Amino acid sequence: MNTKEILKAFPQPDGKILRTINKEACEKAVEQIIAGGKKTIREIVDLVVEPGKGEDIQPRHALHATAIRVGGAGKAKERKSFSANLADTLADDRPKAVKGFIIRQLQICAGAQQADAIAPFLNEPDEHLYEYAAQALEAIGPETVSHFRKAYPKAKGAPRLTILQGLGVLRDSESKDAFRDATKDKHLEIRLAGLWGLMRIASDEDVDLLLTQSAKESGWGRIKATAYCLELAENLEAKGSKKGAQAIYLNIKKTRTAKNEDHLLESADRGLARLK
Amino acid sequence: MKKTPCKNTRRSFLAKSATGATAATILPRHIFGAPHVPPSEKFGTALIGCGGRGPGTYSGLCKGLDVELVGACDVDLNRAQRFSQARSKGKAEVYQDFRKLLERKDLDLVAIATPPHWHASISIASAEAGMDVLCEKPMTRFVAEGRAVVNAFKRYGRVFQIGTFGRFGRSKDRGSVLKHKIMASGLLKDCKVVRMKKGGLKVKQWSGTPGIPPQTVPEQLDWDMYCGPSPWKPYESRRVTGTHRGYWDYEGGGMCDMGQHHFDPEQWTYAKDYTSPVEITPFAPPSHPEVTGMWAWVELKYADGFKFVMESGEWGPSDDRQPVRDVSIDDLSKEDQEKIKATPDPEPLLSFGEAVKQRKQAGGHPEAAHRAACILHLANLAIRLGRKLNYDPDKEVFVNDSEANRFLNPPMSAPWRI
Repeated sequence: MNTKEILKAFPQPDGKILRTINKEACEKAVEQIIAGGKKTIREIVDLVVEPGKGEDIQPRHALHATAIRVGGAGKAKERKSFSANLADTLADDRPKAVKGFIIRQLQICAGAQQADAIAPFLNEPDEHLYEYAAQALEAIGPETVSHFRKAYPKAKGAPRLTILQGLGVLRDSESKDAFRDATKDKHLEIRLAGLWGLMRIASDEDVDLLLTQSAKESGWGRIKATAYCLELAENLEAKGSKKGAQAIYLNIKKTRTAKNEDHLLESADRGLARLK
Repeated sequence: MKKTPCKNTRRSFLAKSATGATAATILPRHIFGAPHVPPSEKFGTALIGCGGRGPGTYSGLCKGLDVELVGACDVDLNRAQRFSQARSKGKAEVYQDFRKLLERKDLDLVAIATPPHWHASISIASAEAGMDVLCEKPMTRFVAEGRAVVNAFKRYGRVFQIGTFGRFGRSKDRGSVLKHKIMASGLLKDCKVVRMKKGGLKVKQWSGTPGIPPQTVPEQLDWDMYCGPSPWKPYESRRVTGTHRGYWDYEGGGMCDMGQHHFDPEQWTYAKDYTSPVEITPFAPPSHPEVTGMWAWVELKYADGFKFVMESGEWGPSDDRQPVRDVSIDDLSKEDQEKIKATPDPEPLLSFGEAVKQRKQAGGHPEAAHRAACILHLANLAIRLGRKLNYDPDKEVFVNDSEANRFLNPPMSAPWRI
């Protein structure tokens, strides 16, 4: 079936909302898109334009509906095929904003096989592609971590923070040194992302670093860095390391003595009581 | 505008009274044996998100407490300035970034009335900074945020109240108290209760508008800060000021706007504050990637057989698969009826103000608010995904559906994280 005919199943806004949508027609169109394979998917992607550069409500809706509907049990074959065909279109010469939309759909359905197609955008600052790529890879899961490791040393500016945070999301213990270096960075948010990554990995060996660094911070940095210390204590406790957790609570009790930090003392007291 | 620190804050009051705290969820004072004395000190307060719901939420925060507004924060500076002027004759300092506001040492209570994609991050940060919080509904944008809020308020022993109050009335209504006792008792075998919410979820009103071209960001608006933990998108004016409700990035349509009002008291009545549905079945067309849209009905079934059914009444067929049925004392054996009669009534729910003064849990506490928000999120996810979902309410994940699980804890935009 002609691709433009398939897309007619998806509504154009009537007034301001999509209230005339027809469930059966849209679902049939999704089946036709899946059956149409690579050619149909590319033809639909070709109809997606940069925001403000034309009318593309139907192709965007169709691609999203298909990305969603290939999910769930019993759809592995369709999911694999659709994701592969959609990821292939990232290699084409397209506006960056369109590639951003494609990556966001891949976040819903793609598997590790599509990571190679998404990863080159981790260091692309335009149109927030680095952010979309990182989020898609994080959604796919830990098998994508090598792409973050590879991209981080080259990263600058906003992508650097996003990639570092991605390593933390994926709890990458091989990036411990990167996190430790980050805690000494001149930018507060990089320092905090480093502390957060170490907190999520939760090793006894990083207790001193988190305590020392959190004591050096002030204002917002101190609030968040102290929070990561307390979360580290809980993570260590969950791992069975009472010693590390106890060290954190005792340190907080000793050092957070300002009047506006009494809630931290209470938190440390509760932690110590739990460890008994 | 100058900073005007409150000389006698609740914190200094607590510091004087709190010694050697150990267990307890919220704390000091009464648990150490001291008689309950409401603090006479003024509470330093702030509002974060000074638009539409802001002033009302702030009034809720202040109810029954002696307060002084010290800060007003909004990504749109004009709104923060207007609120400061209206409530403090401009004395309260204005902020565009809540992080700077939370650094204040004279701040005790925070009202949060931003769009929902900011609720969890700001609530958590407020608890980390030692504040008690009254937060607009819906509590969160996705499920994992709610668990993070619960954990944070437990960690810091702070008071949290969600900005919906229907459960307070229910908890004083004899019929609702009886239903609560029956459902909480565990004595009801083979629960056949079906509760229907028909209409009132503003499906069309809060459905978004797709395909609007990007616009120039107004000078007074920090657009990147507005997007915050949600994915960055080009600015267009319908994404802010109320119509944000029609976008998946910020809220979740009328379901999330109105649902917590309806299901929070229902959840209390039927004793579901500490669990979530196990099966969610939708009837909805394929959703749009950006904007919320039409749906017909969603059924949410709990492990004990109890069902919530919501029917939009604004699109598609009715759900007439089963009759509505309430719980009754007659559903129990005579012996069990006697047990229910002998069961004491639940503890009265504390208002936010009383909870702050007594350092106890408020009626709309984090776990209850999270579970009520989960009803909306699970229903919306079934609508978006177009398939029946099986949910594990203890692990808070979908069973055998890894693609659906991607929506329970979607990655946030740096530097925001939970």
